[in-house]
Amino acid sequence: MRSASRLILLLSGVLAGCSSSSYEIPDGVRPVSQPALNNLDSEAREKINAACAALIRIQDGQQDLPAREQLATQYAQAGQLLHAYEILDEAAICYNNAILLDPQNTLQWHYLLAQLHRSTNNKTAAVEHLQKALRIASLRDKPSLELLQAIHYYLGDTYLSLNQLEESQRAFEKALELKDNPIIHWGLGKTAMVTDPSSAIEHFHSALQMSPNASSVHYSLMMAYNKVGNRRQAKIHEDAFHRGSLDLYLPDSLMESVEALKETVAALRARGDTALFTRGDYPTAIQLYTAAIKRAPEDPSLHLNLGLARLRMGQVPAAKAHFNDTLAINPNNSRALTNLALIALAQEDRTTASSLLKRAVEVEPNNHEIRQTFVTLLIQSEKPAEALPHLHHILERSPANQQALTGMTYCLLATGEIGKALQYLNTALTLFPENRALAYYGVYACSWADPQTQDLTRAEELLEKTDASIKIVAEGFLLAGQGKFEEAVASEQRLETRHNLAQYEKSMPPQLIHYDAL
Amino acid sequence: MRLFFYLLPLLTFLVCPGCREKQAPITDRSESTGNSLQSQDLFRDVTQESGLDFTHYNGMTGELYLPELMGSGTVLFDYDNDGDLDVYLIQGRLMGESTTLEDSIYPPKATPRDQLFRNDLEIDSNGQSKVTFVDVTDACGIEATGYGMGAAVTDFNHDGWLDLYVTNWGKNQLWKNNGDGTFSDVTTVAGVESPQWGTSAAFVDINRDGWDDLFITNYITFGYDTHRPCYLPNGALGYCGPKSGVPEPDRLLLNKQDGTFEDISAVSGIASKPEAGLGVLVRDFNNDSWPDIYVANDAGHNQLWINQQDHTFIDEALIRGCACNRDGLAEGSMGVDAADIDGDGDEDLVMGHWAEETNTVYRNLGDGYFEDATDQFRLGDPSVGFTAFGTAWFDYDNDGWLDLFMANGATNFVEARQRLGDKYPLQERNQLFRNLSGRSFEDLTEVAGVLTEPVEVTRGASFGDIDNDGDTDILISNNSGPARLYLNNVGQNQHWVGVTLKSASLKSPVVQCRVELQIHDGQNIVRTPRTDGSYLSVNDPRVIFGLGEDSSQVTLTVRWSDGTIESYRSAIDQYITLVQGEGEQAE
Repeated sequence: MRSASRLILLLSGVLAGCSSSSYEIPDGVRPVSQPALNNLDSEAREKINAACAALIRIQDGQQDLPAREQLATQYAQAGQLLHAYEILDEAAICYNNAILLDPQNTLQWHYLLAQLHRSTNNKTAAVEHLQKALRIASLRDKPSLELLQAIHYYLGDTYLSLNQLEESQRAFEKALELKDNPIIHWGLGKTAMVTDPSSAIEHFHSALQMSPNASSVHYSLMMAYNKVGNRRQAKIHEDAFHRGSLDLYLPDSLMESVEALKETVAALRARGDTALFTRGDYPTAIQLYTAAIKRAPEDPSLHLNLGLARLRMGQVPAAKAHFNDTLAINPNNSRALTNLALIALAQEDRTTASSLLKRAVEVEPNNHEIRQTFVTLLIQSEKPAEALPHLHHILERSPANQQALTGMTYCLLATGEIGKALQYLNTALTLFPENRALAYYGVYACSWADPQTQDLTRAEELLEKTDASIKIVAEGFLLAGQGKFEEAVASEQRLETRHNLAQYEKSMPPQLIHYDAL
Repeated sequence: MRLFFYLLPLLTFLVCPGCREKQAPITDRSESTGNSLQSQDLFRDVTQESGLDFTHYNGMTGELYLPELMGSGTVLFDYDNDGDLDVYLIQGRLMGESTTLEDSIYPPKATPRDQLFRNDLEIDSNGQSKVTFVDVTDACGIEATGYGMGAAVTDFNHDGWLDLYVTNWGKNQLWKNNGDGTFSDVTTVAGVESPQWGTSAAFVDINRDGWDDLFITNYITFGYDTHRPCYLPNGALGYCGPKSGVPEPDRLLLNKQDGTFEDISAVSGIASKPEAGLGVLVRDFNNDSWPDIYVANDAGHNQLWINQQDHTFIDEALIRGCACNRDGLAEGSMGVDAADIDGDGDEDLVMGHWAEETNTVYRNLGDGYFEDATDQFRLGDPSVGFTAFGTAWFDYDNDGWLDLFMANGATNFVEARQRLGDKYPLQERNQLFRNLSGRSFEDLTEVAGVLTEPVEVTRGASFGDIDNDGDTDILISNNSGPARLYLNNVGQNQHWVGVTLKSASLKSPVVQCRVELQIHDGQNIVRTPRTDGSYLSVNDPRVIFGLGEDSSQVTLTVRWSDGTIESYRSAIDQYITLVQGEGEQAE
C-alpha cells in the first residue's frame, strides 16, 4: 500500500499552489492514483487510464486546476467508472473527493459510496453514507422519489443484516410510505420473522399480492409457516417456491447507470447471458454478444451464445453460421456440435445429426444431456441396440436418471431383453411411480416376460396408471399376454392407428411402440 | 478479490473484540472460566517438531484446472489400535494430459503421494505428552493412485481394525486394514469403485444392522477435453465454478456384511437429485433413532436426506429450512458440521461459504426443522470476505460451550497478491469464534495467535485430541502448502470427560449415538461422537465434554443406535469407554 499521508500532503500542496482558479483544497481530499489494470481488456484499460490520468495531471500540477465544482464532477465520473470495474479503493477516494469538493451536490455520491461499502461488507460505513444521503435528500424541495426509496430500503436491508431489527423496520416502513413495492414488504416480513412470525406472514402475503410468483417470498412464507407450526401452509409455499420464477426488484437508476459503464468482454458476456438465459431478451443478448465479439473475436463461447440467441429468435441460418464460427475456432466444441445436430434434426437430416452428435459425445463423454440427445435420435431412428451402450454409460454415472431409465427399459424391451428390462423397470418405478411411459412399458414387460417372470396381476395394476389411447394399446398387450387374442383384436380396433392388429389376428406377440410415437 | 483493499480496515473493525458491541451480562460457564488469553496461549504449531512433514501438491501447470483448487482432506484415526490418533494426509497429482512434474508451477519436493503417519505418543511421569509422528507410508502398502480429495474411516468388515476409504478425482479406493500395519486395496472386490469425482464420504449404518454402509458425495463432471477458460467479472482469467460441469449424483452403498457393498444409489432415491456435493454428515435430525444424511452442495440446494427406515431416503432440506439461506438462495456450501451450540439439546448446522456470502448457521428448532440464525449468532458479518472450507463446532476451552473454527482460502485470485507476483494468490486467514453461552459468538481471530496468524489456502481440517490431554487439537491441510498440526494449550486447564463408545462385540469405536452429560446442578450437555463433517476430512471418534471449573462426578446417558438408553457414572479429567450393555438401563 502506498503512503496515503504523504500523497495527501503532496496533493494539497500542488493543488493549492498551482491553481489558476485558486481555492483551498478541503482536508481529506486524497489523490487518486493509476490502478493496476493488467487483468482488464485494452478498451477498459484505456478508459480508466484516461479518466485517472486527467486527474493525476491536475494533482501533479501539469494541468490547470478546474473550477471546484468541475473538479468534483471529474472525480465523481472517474469514481463511477472505477466503481463499475470494481476498483473500489480508488472509486471510494474519488467519491469522497467529489463530496468534499462540492458539498452542495453530494446526494448521489453518498448513495453510491454506501452501495460500494455494502458490496465490501463495510456495513457501518454503508449506514453512515445512507444516513447522510437521507439528510441531504430531506433538505431538497423535490428529491427523486426513486432514490429516496432506495436509500430507505437499503438502510432497512443493511440494518437487518446487522440484526438491528427496530432500525430495520423503521427504514422499511419509510420506504413503503413513498411507494408500494413487494420487495419492501418482503424486507418488513424478514425483519418481523425473528420476533413475530405471524406479523411476518402478513407482510409476506402483502408482497405476494403484488408479485405472486416471487420465489423468494414463497420461501420466506414457507419458513414463517414452519415457525408457527402450520406445516400444511408451509408445504403449499414450498411447492410454490419450486414453481416461482420472479426475483423481486427495486428500481435503482443510479446503480444501473454505473453498471452500464462496464464494457469489458466479461461484463458484456455476463449481461448477454442474463439477457439470453434469465430474461429471454434475445435482441439485447444479440447486441451484447456482438459487441463482445468485436473485442474478443476468437472467443468460441461468445459465438456459441450468439448462435443460441439467434436460434431462439428463429434465425436458423444465422444461428447455424455462428455455430460453425464456433467450430472454426474450436472444432471440438461439443455444444456447437450438438446445436448443429439439433438444427439438422429439425430439418430431418438424421444422417448429419447423427454424425455431429457422435462427435459431440466423443468430445464430452460425461455430458449426459448430449448423450441423451444422441440416444433419442437413435431411438427415433429405430436403433435401440445402438442406444444401449450410451444408456449404460449414463446410468453408470447417474443411476437414477429418469430419462435414461425409461430409455433403457424401452431399448431392452425392443431388443427382446425382457428380463433385464424388468430389472431397470423395477428401479425406475420405485423412483418414479407416476411415470406413465414406465407404466406402459411395464404392462408390456409383465405381460410378455418368460413364464417364470410373467406377472399379469402387476400388468393389470400398471395398466391402471396409463390413460387415453395409450391405455388401449397397453390393454392389447395384456389381453394378448393372457392369450385372449380375440379380445386384443377388439381392443385394438378401438384405436385410430392400429399398430398390432395384424399380430393379434395371427395370435402373435405385439410389437412394442415407443411411448412418444403413440 | 475486490475485497482486498477493504479487508484490512474491515478486519480491524470486525475482529477487534474491544470494538464490538458489549455482550449481555454472562453469569454462566462461559465467563466463569475467567480466561484472559494472550494471543500465543491458545494453540501451538507442533508440525515440525512432531515430524509431520507433508506438503500438498496441487499439480497446477497454469491451465487453472478446477480439481487443483479443491485441496484435500485430513484424516485422524487410530489405525494401529494403540490408543492415539494417527494421521493420513491426502495428496494431489500433476494436472494436464501431456505434462511432466517439471511443468508444475510449484514442483513437489518428492514424488507426490498420500502419506500415513503413525503417532508414537509418549506421556511422561508428570503427565506431559510428546507427539512424535513416524512416516510409515512405505511400510503400510497404500498406493493411492487418484488425485486425492477426501476420506472416510470405519471397520467395514468387523475385523477390529479401522479401514480407510479415499475419494479421488478419478476412481476411489477402499483400503482394508490388515491389522499388521499394512493395508490392502479391496476396492474392486468390495464393489466400491465410483467413477465420479468423489469429495467427502461418510460411513453410516442406514438400516441399523450394525454394519456401516457408505455414502459418497460427488462433485461435477470435469475432464481435460471439456476444460474451458472461465473469466471473472473484470475480464480476468480465473478458475471455473461448480456450474462449469454437470452435477454428479451421490452414491449410497449398502454393506452386505461379507466384505462387499451393493450400490443402492438409485433405489434409495439418493441419486435422484444430483448436485455439486462437497460436504456430508450423518445425524438423527428428526429424533426417530434412524440416521439421516446432510449434504452440503456447492451453488445448489443443500440436501437433508431423511431416512425412511426401508433403505430409502427423501430430501426434506427445503421444507425443513436448511437448503438455502434466509432469502431462499442456494449458497456455495463446502464444509459442514452439526452440534448443539445453544444448549437446547438439538443439533445446529454450520457451513462454510464463498467470500461473497456469509457462512450460514441453521438453528434447529427442536424437531429437525431449522431457521437461518447466522446474524443472531453474529457469525455472518465476520465471515464475508472469507471462503470457508473445513469447519467444526468444538469446545476449544472446555467451558462447555461449542466454539467454531473456520478453515479459509479463496477460490479466485486475490488481486493484490496477484499484483505482487504470487502465482497462487488465494491465501486467507483462518478464523476462531468463541461461543458466548449459546447466545452469540465472539471473533477471536485477532487474539488466537498462531492458529489464525498464517495466511494460507486452508481446505481440510480435522478435530481431535492428538496428545490425549483432554482437549481438542486441530490438523489442517493447505492447498499447495504444508499440513499443520495445532495442539491446544488451554482446554486441558479446565475439567473434562472424554468418552469413547463401544458395542459389546466390536473393537472399533461407535459413533452417531447421542450422549448426554448431567452435571450436579442439573445442567445437561449433549454431544454426538462423529468422524464425519468438516471438509473432505475425518475427525476423532471420541467426544470431549468440557466442564469448566466443575469438578464433581458426572452421569452420562447414551442413546444407542438401536434405541436403547443406558446411564453411566464417571469421574472427570479422564477418558472413559462406555460399552453398550454395561450401563444402567434408563428411560
